[in-house]
Amino acid sequence: MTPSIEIRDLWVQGVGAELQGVSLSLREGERVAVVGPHQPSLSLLIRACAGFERVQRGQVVVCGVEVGTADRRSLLQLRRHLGYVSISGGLLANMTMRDNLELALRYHGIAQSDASRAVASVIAAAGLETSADVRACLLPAELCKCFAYLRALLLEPAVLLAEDPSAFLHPEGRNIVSELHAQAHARGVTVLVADDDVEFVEPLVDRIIELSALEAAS
Amino acid sequence: MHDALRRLGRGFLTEMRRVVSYATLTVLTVGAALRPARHARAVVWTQAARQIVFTGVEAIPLVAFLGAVGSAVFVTIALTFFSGAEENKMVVDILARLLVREVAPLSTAVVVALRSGAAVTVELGSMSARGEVEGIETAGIDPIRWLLLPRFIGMAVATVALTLVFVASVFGGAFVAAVQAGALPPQLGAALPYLFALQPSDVVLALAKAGLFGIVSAAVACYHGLSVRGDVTEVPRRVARALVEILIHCSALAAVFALLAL
Repeated sequence: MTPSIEIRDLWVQGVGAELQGVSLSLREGERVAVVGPHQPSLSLLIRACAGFERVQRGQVVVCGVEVGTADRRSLLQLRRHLGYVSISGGLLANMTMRDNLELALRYHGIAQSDASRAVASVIAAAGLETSADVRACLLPAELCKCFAYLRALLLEPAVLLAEDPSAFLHPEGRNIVSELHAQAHARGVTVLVADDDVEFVEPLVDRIIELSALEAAS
Repeated sequence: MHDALRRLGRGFLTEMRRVVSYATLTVLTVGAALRPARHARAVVWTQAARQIVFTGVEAIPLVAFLGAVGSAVFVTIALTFFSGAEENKMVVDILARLLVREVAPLSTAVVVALRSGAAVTVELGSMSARGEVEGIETAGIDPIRWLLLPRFIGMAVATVALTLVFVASVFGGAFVAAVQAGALPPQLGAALPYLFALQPSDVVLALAKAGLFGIVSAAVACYHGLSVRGDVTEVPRRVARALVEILIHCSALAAVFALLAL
């Protein structure tokens, strides 16, 4: 599986947002931020890469899988190698943060004891132990976002996709997320983030591109 | 007239499309059950066990109560009209055929729909609205295997088990009512010959129907839950539609079964 992203002349229509002929290419291990003033359009790009939006025209190839035409099972296999952080995090509200993280590992066949140990270790490394046993619905959005990052990176993905990483984050949360991005970079993870906060994403990536420039390039 | 026919046709087609969607969801779920995925088995069975406890175990008192009271009322009223030994046998035959084969699976399906169908639609609807279903997909977790399969297993198994509870309580209630009415001596042994009025095929048919009703309830509840898109206010509307549709589909299937068994 080639850990890279190739977007060619992508047209997607979302709710209140659209992409018109976006083209972008990420090499293995490259970190790119797509920025712009309209977050819904930026999110649409990330969601299209994760296979959550219907591609009207063009191609999105992630880790060698053409997302627009892939069937359900291929998408599931692809997502096993993708780390994805949505704006709100998408954690299960009625589970504790620890259970949310362990679920991802246990579903993929890791024994309970090993999963517990791995999760405890990443939570401790991020300094989030005090919130680990609280249900997601009871925690502020900032902490949910940080735990969503932990879940996304727990399965050691080849590609990390993040929709608006700066959303809900205060300085402390921003530090945690920046640290997690640094760890992902050290592991050679390909990173594509889309954010309207250029100042926040600048130190996280190698390249910053305006979405409008990508559309114009097509 | 022309407009009315067009509306009727459109309504029929919409309903058919929805039935096809339920069938597709069921096929996908059965496919997920048949596909080997040893790694996910433990997590899925834990979820299924929880669903069985919620749908089945916690509903036992309600189902037992409904079965016992329903049959007691039926026997009491029937015995006021019929009093001879021949008529008693007829009452038992009707009890076996009507309550066990027809009423037990349908009543159980109604209880399962009201308790668990509504709960499943609310739970999945809220999860869809909050982006949790997408959230688990991003972790490579198959929502059909992890969310739907346990609910299908739980609701089908629980509906079958609750139907057995209903049948047992029907006989309990009928026995007590018959003793109270003086149609039977107050010894359990006296009721045993009446139990043989129940053919094994009646019980098998009742359980098969119950299993099917459980699957229909799960398919409809899951479909409406997963159809919620980003708006939590859509959840109550979906719950109402799911409940109505479960009742309509289960009643229609019960009618088809009854006609086929004639």
